[in-house]
Amino acid sequence: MQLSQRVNSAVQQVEVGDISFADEYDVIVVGLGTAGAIAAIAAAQRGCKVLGLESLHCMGGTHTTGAIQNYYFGSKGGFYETLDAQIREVEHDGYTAWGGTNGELKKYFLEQNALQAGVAINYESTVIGVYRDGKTIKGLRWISPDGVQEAASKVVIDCTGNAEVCIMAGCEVRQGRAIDGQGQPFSNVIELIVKDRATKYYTDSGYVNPADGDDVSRAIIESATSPNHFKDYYDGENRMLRLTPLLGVREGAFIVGEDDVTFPKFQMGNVTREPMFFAYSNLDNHSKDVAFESEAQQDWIVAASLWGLNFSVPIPLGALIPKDFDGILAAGRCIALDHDIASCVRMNRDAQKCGEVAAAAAAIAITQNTPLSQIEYEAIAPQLRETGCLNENAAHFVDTSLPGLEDSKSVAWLTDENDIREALSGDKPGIAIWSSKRLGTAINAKLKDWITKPEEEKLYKNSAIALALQNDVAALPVLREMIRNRDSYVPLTSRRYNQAHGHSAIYLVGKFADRVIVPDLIGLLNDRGAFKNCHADAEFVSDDDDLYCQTFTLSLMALLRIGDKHADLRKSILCELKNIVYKNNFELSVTLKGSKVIRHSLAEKIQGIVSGKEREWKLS
Amino acid sequence: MNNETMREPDFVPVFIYGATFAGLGIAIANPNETFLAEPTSLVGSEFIASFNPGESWEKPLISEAAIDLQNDLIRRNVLSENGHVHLPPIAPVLLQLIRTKNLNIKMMTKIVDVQPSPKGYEITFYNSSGLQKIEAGAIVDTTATCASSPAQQVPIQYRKVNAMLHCADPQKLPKLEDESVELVAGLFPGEVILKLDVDENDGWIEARQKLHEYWLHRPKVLSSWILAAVADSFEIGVLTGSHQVANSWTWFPSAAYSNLLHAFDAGQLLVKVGETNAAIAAR
Repeated sequence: MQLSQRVNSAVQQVEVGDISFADEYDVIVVGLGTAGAIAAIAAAQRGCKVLGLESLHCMGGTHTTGAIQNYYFGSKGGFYETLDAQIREVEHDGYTAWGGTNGELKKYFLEQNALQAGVAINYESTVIGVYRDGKTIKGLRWISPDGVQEAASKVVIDCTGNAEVCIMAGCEVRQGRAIDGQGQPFSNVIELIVKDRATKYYTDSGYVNPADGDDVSRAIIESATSPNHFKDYYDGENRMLRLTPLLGVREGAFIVGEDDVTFPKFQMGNVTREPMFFAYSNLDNHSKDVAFESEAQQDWIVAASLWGLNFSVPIPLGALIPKDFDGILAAGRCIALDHDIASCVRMNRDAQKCGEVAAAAAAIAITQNTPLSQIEYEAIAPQLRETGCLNENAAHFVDTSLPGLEDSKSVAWLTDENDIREALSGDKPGIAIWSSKRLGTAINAKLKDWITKPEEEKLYKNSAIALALQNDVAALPVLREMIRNRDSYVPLTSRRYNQAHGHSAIYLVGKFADRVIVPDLIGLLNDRGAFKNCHADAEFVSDDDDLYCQTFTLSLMALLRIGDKHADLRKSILCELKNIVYKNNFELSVTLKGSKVIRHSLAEKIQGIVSGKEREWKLS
Repeated sequence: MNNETMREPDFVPVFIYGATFAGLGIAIANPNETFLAEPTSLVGSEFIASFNPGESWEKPLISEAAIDLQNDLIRRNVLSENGHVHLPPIAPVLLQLIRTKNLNIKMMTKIVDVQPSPKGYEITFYNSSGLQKIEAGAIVDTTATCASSPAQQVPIQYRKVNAMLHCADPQKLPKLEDESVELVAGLFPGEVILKLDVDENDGWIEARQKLHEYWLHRPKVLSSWILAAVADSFEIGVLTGSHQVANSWTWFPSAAYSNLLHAFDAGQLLVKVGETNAAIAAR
């Protein structure tokens, strides 16, 4: 047997021979947070002997002690709803509901339900080592208030949010976006009294690598001394209750699973036919430097402005199983996702469902003495359907910008050319743009016709965007015109984060590697003073600097793509870029979501991207 | 732990466990000689996160840094001249102090093991970067339970679980008959802390149950109040002063002091009277 640990950020294994453990469990759940609390209770209710290890002093994680009690999307149904119902019976007297259920009561009810089910709970306990036999997990070592402890476990469920146990065990993981490894921003949440109710306040606070101890310390200290928290004078209005003891980390590492769920796969309709549950949200990426996101994501949110379109993602069991490993599952936001789709698969409801799935899988594997990866779909799916965790009838696409109840806003991709024409002629063209991409050449002739009609301005431009998403160069003249006119028209496809036409066009000419547009893009970079914000979505573009930042970063990435394709242009492009980004006073920053004050500097990142490209092009 | 896999640890004269008020008092008095490890993401938890506003505010402070902190808290309107305190914003104030003083601090960092070494102690700790080691001339544990030494039998005098209450129409504090419950006014209208005695050995499960059971069946005089937040740390009564764990390894619990400023002051004075000199001599 090997003891696998992280030492100075590196995973190391040492042979320890045969070990006998004083304590043995069927299931050890690590992290009794949003997913882990449900996993522990649900596993114990299935007859498993369960130990729950939690580094804090309560259950529920981000959903309780992290103060995000409300439900922002996620799909309804599942075992967690019975717990929420218990809380609703008592929370009206002496507590306040926070949009979901009262956080303090949820801590309490989770704990009581866990104890009743037979879960052994160890608080203030942090896993420091994993015992493995080859690629089968056998037990854990952890530090508790009573010192170092160890126990065997048939199945370990990693609900740490950051795949900490999987990483420690040596499982393969991925993290962040390709260009810079950056995940989503985190928040440092404050609880406070507003209008006689206990509630919460947060904005995005910056970025943190949750696998780096020094960076975590920096993030805690910097975020808690931002203007949200640190004030010259506290006047008692909206009286602070506390800083939550848990940073609101939206994204850490993801396991590489037996079945990875990625955004490109989802876009192509390559999804599982054996779902455990459906995650449901929009592509809720808080980052505003979208120019550095993947092509798949930019097609969706920069070209088509589909940031706000909600969709359901079927999650297979294989997304919870680290590739080639047995005896270990991940649940919560660290399952086998890519950075893009993770922004949709991280909501409280879905995390709780994920915990329920992990519990069901662990119990079946133990009962049937079968590897986790060999569990039959029909052995697990009925259990999940029974609680509502799995509901194949859930809505698949929902336009949240429409008024009315959630159920009435379901939308489908368009197939009729008249419907597409009508939508492309309006202020909400995004679904028609993406529908055109799905139809491909079947609609191209129409799109090409419509881009000959500049008198129908929206149809003319939106058709060009739709054509461009199909890599049809016929779109280029219209895109160039939008850039040269600095087209500031913003569609209303999504409730927020819509992109101005000019910005969509810059992104798309980059995809085409259009050499003709280079002088115009350079001109944009050098014309900072001309950018005056008139964007209606203040959350996405707060001020002139935010507007310039969008234009700058999209133009930068377009120029680099053009240089990738046209070697003869590289030297001049680099020269222009270096003249800008290596100036002593070069600064470029963007406001963080929710704040008009807290800014995130991109200068160093941009300098790094430019110098990296210089090396790649061998021009340094 | 396989020693071959660990790189040579850095040396620090004094390793402080717990970013408590006393721990910060020590570190700020000697920032170049100290390394501060805090097991949670919070600072000053023994008063702030436990919702313990403290008492004996009339007792004078001695160190200049403690007096400066007192003046800063008064200026920011989180502490009144008569000792009413609005606890939560004091955490950002402390964190700003940590930034200003450039303290050597690691948050969310737990001690795993302590072993004697030629220069004092080799300390293995764990945080998001995994296991790491540091060598220290001395250890000052400022936690309420002497968390650096789980084997240590700590004499706890009392334990309370506290909660922040709120009332839309704050009247004079109601009188409660139950002697295990106390109400303490905060600084602002409607800001009241409920303190509930629990057993000295109670953990969070027992304490949380007692608190919610009390609240769900609370006296009528509290019927219009809401329980806004339960404390994230226990209020623990322990003896003041330095308690030797081993040679150059001291338990100096911050929670023992009557209020947060006196705990900070005590940390400052600990350095002034030279109790960490053993560490410096060990270099």
